Amino acid sequence: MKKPFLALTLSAVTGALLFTGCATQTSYVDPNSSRLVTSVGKIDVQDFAQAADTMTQSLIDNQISQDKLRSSVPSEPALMAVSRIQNNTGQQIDTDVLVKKIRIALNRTGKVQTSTTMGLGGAEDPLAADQQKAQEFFDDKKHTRLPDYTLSGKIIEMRDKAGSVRQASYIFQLSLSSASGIAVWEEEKTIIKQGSRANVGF
Amino acid sequence: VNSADTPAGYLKIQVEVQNNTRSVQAFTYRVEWFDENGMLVTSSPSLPKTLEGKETADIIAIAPTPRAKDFRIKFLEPTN
Repeated sequence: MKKPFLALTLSAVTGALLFTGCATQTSYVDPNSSRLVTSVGKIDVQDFAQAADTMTQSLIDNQISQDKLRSSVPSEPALMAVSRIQNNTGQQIDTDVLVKKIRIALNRTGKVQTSTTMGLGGAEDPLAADQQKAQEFFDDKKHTRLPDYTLSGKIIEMRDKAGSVRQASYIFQLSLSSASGIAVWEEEKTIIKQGSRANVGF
Repeated sequence: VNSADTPAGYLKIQVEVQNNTRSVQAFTYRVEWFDENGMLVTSSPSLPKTLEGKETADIIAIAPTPRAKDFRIKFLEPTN
């Protein structure tokens, strides 16, 4: 008579332990915080932020703050189009996580604007592209404004292991080419992470 | 601490940091940019840095906009 009662009690206790044991507290974290989850095997959100910050700083330092970027239309900011950003890692990456951050920062300088109607693989904003064509037709314009610069790049991954310590290197490379096909700016940022498992914080 | 304006009016800063201990020290830092009224314009993401024992290094940053006229660097201890 006691066995079913014991089994029931045990299962209830186990269930309660499972529920309480698995419970994790979820909280909001500032994306600029140093308490984000850091993993060795993948590019984390803070890695993209770090790479984008380096790229933006370099572009501002070497080109924008030196007034080197030239616009084909006087009194207007230079026009940039985004070309191929190649993902040479083993992960599925939306390269906009990197590129959008750079675009936002460049746009805020007031010296560079990005075309949303011209880009590799089609327009980013198809409605804006249609509107641009219609506007050109009504205005009887013969030429669309071409980008003054194009942004291209590559993300490369290299892995290493020594005992239980794993190392992953992520190399971010970007180039800004002028309309004549000359790379006027190039930058590379390497992020190396070591560890045996994911962690919270840098 | 060194600071200078670029030809286009961007504030560029250079801050020397030194590890006074004999062991490797890791930290993260964040640069905050303020306008002429002391209002926060923007801040950088947390950036990790490691200094070897007794090493001296420079933190160099350029303001993301000419509106930034002052800065503050926040040093944070790593969480692991």
